[in-house]
Amino acid sequence: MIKRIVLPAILAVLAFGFWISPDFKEIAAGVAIFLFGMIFLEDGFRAFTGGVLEKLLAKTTNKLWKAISFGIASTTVMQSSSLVSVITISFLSSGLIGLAAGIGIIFGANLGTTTGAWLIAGFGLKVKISAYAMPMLVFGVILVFQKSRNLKGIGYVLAGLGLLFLGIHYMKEGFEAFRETIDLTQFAVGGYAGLFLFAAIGIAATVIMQSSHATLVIIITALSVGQITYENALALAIGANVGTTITAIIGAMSANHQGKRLAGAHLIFNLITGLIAIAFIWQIIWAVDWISATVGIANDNYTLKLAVFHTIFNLIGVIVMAPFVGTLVSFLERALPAPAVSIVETQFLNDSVKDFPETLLSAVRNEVFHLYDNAYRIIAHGINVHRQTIESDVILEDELKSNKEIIRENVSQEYTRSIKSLHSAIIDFSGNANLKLNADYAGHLYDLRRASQRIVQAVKDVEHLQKNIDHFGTSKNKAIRNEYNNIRINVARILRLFEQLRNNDPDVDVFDLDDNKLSAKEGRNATLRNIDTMIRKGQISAQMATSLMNDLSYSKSIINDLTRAAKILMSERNTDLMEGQNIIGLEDEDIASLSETDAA
Amino acid sequence: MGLKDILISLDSALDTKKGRAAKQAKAIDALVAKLVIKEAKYKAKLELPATDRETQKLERKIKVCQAQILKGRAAADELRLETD
Repeated sequence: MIKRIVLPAILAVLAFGFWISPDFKEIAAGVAIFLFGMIFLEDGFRAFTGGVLEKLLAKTTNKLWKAISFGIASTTVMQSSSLVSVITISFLSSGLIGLAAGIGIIFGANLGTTTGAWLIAGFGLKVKISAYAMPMLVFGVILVFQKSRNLKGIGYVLAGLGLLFLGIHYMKEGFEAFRETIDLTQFAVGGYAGLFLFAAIGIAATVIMQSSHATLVIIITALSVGQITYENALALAIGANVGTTITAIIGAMSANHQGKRLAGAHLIFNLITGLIAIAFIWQIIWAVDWISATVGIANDNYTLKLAVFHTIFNLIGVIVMAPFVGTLVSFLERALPAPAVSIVETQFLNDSVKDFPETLLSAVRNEVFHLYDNAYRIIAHGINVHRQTIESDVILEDELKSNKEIIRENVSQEYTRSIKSLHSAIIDFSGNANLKLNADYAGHLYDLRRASQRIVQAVKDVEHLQKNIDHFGTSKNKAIRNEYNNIRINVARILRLFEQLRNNDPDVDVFDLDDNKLSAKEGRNATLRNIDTMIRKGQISAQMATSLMNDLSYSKSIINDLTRAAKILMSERNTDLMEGQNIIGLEDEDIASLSETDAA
Repeated sequence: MGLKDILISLDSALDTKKGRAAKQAKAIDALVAKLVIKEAKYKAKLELPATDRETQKLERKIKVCQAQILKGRAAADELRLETD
């Protein structure tokens, strides 16, 4: 209802403004061009980085200071704290980084965004920037039409910067012309009332434009032509800082609980920083004057002094809040608790991870692991083995041969409940995402889908195997009981190896999967060679032999499927190493030939 | 650094077919080197007294390592031919 009223109201106010004042039209057009430039710039960085930014982010956030530095550097380069916040939220949602690291990045982004004020105040207003804007736009647009993803990305960045500069130019021109007709300083309000009023206006302007940069440009240009007072400009800047959190809040709406916590941290940080700035405004103004005098900024250069102020109060915010990151994390974890982990619902697949290839792959990988967790329980129980046994150091041969416990797991029911829907969600999500990815990432995603399919297939095969495992695994006939115990041991071995690889056990690596496969194959071959003898000696019936042969085939499929899934999930993230592992890894025919050598 | 090395580095940086092959060959070499160490470790263990089951297990592991090393070396050599 509110949306239906607000949009027409804004349009009507703007139309009325354009009608009565051509200068207002110029300022508004400047803001629109500036925002359009921001969109171009963000799209450009998304395409241009192609995963580089995300890889960097994942590597450089293990310590708070590194996370803060990353936030500063990336926001300085991209000139968009919003983009950095949204990327960080998507990283958190996909499980690539922790909340504390995410908070560090947000702190850094708040500091990094202050460089924008310096650029606009120090460079944007002094130089005729429209002269730079035009060539950038021309070069940018030419590059945008190129096929290469990188050139296209650079084109978007250049065009974005060109539009930003052009927008600033129009705003500046508009305010200068505006000054001749209307003097906005007559609306200036002094004291704390003015501070809170203008801070509220700053919040509102930033919420509407969803860009503190745009608000800051308006403030600086208006200040440069004397349309607002210095004190009111400071309050507007404080408001813009608080208002910018709206982008993170909107971004977090489609994220999971971790993304929402980060948006909460962003809001808390900016609110506290804003309150500190208002409470100590006179002391900060004094500090700004002192620093300005020290570095040689003229006393009446209010635009540069605003940039100094912007930096100082964000720096104070970081210094005050950094020691309390742990407390903030605990508070947010209590205030926004994680939903109870559901084994049947997806945990990592949400819209916030879709935009960035690295986060998307990480989210799908984690979801496939989630699927495996469910499959692991079903498969282990399907062969009557507890997961504790698999995860312990006991010798599987000894333990499984002596243990005749039957674990009553309804594999069919569990498959429908905790496997089928998750697998469908993975296929659906990755299928939709695949369209946006380049060949490398699409290939990785395809592999993850195959891993998911293999895990599902393994569960289906256990369903076939379970009845005979229960029946013959506890039989009084020693020969058939031994053979079924061997099947259990071989399946349990791949489950154990999977867990060891997942937990980065230093004693194993992905190449051990080939050894495990060969060991299982040799065991199967030995049984198949022995079946005739067992029938002849009357140790097993022909019916038992048929069942055994069928079940050996099922166990082979389970081991092969889980081996393939483990190779995909546990392989190196580095493309060259991963391809190397695939090349070196033994194929079925290699395993068969090794097995034949042995038999001969 | 010779001219050839510079050209290979440039190829890798530009991600051309040759550069990609060179990078892959290097990655395979690194993996093979790890497998060689692993094989030597198993061979050293084989020298120690062990049960029949353990010996059999170690012999199988060595056999797998050797097959993997052979595959890796052959693939790396082939890739290096592409870069010449």
